[in-house]
Amino acid sequence: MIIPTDFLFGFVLFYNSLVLLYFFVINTGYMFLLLFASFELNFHNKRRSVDICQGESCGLVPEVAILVPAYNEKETISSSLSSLQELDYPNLELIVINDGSTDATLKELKKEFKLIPVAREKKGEVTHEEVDQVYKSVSDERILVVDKENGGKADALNAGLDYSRSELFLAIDADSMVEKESLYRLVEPYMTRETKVVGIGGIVRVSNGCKIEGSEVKEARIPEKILPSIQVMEYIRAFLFGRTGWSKINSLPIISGAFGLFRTDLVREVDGYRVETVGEDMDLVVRLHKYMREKGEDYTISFIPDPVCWTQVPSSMKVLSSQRNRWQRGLAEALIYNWKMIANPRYGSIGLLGLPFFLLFELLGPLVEVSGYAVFIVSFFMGWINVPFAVLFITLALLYGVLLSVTSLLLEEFTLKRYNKLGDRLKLLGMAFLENFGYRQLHALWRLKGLFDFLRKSGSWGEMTRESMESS
Amino acid sequence: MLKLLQGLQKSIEGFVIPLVMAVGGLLLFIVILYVIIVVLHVKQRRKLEKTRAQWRDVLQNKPHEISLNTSTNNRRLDAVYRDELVRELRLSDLEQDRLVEIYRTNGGYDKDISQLSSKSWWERAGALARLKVVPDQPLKIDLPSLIHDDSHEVRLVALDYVAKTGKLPDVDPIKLFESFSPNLDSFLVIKLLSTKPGLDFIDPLCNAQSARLRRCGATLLGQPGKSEFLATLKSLAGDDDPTTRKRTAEAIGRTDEKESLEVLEKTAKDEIPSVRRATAGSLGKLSFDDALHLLETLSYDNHFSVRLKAFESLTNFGEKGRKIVSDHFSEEPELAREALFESYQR
Repeated sequence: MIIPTDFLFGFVLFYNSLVLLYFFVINTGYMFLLLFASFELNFHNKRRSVDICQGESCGLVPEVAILVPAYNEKETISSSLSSLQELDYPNLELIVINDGSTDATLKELKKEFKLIPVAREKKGEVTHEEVDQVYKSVSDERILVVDKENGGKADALNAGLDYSRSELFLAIDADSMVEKESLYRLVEPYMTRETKVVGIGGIVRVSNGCKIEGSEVKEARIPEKILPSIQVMEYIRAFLFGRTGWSKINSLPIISGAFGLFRTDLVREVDGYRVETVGEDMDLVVRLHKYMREKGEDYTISFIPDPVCWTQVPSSMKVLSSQRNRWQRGLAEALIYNWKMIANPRYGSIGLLGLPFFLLFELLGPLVEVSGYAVFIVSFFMGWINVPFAVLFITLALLYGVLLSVTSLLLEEFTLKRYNKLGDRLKLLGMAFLENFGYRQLHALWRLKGLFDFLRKSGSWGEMTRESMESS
Repeated sequence: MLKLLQGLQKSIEGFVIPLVMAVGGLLLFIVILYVIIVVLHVKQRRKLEKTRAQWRDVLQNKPHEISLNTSTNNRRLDAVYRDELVRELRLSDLEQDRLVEIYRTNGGYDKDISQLSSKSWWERAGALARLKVVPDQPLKIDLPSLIHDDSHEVRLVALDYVAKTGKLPDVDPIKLFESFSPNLDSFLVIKLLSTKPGLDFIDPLCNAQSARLRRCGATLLGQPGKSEFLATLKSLAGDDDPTTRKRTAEAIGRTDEKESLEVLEKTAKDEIPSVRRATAGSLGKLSFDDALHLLETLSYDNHFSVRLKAFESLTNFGEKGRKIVSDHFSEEPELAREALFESYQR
């Protein structure tokens, strides 16, 4: 079949214009988010923390269960749990859910924390795979270990929810490092905000390259390797202006599964985590929005930028690509499961702004972006577009992106200032440029593959290879 | 269509250069701004660290030399320095009176007092937050008006101040609770408990029509050594609202009063399991031998969570408690084993 040149030329021009418009709209959308985020961060910077725990009445602060799902975490589980024991908070339940590990995770826990089998009552409000036995630590009465059949992360969290007796729960990853005072900072808005707080997310930062003593980050540093360094920049941008901005207009559609505090009763009322998805964290937050909007109650789902959880990010392309593939599938699933909320005025700002934005720009974005780059390159070399158009394309696609990244660094500098060394801050500036030339395009490709895998219903959780904390 | 698109391409030519200039210029401006800000912050941090080190040295080695230079020409920076000074004072081992004296001599107290009437809420909140650490006596602060400030953030810090100083200002308890959202009830109760409020403050809450206020009143009654609260506790143990009854049972655990056992006898028979569970928990905290027979009864409760709590509480009673737990071994082996393990661990 011969395609007429005029038609092809017309199509290329049309498509390039469409992609141009896409880049303009997405980056302008991000600009608005940045604006919202700067208002929120400015307020956060000016406000004063209050003590929620005072003397003898400290025991009255809400009880928090920390849920730690563990699957084959023999190497890290003891140190993770030991670091959680150090958390500065009076009413704590530490629930490890051994999700049918095939290695010696349970044996390790039994050895280190002197576990004894106990009887515990299930709330029975959320379903999960069968629990073989519940154990309690003799050395620390706050520790409960739920040993269950394998069912995935969401199923493990549901089992933890089922056995928790606390008013709030914090879901974290087994390898996360939560800063000592983080729990107080997360609970503070729950106790002091005028509207009902349903969920609160804290910031997740990259631990690669940081100075770590025991299980505590002593000094935040930028890693030497480029790939993790770019992810530091990426996390700052995503959390500091993405989540803060959405939080400002109460449309935050995701709280990281690695660090999110929720009201136990409400999560039970929405039947806990959905097990059929790899994006269980986003799906839960979206369903909580739906539930509260349908109830017609005033509520907030917030992000606050100073409680920090440190996590190790992938330093190899292979692991990173599989992680991003999974995130994209999770996003697709969360949007498909809750499609009725999209563009539905009944769900307010999350229905009209948050979810449509995520659908058009986060889910379908990679498709437009990757095809846009391909068509642009071909048409430029075929001489179908002129130089001014090409310059405009590069400006909107890349320079605008750099502008956003650098501005988010400025936000970090005006508010949190976690990186103290001048060299580290300048390195971050370099990463803001570097990530837009090569990494961003590669990232779009991984996400596009994730989208196709979702459509073909294939894909797995993927594995994260971790470096020893001491070496980082 | 094709002509339209070609026309579009041509028309773009006209504004490409200004647009690229604008984006590029803005980017350049932000990059330069970022570098300048980073350099300034690094310098400022170094200066601040140096100043703090000097303060620390004076506070540790020459506490009689209380002249610490905190003044700057910049109003915002001046507040930053006062924040830092307060932080250093808090970290020092000096006595509270001494800290107040140092802060006052350095002008911090006067500046903060004047800042309390600032129009900006963050300045009022900041001043109050500093004064909270070094509260001067006698109080020259109009606390009731700060507790009812227009800004929610200032009101929170004002409550924090009240809790820190332990002195409850003259405020109407019902108006106080009603001026805050019910979401803040537990925060308010924690703050107020630090001031050890008396019956004149708590009684109106306990007799209020709203269950929300009675619940808060019940929790406030949980103070050790206050036998005058007993009559109010007794009446709340029969309240219509189950949460108020549960809070009453919990409060008794903090009273340390032997006479309060008769209130627990009533809540131990409550129809709601969470009230009986709270009773079992409180009995374990009281540790009077007379509580044993009540706990023994609760250890046969038909609700698992009540039995579990009763077993946990029994382990606080040494050999006598363990004896009751051992008697249960045949029918509740796991609960009994857990309780005994815990008991011996202690």
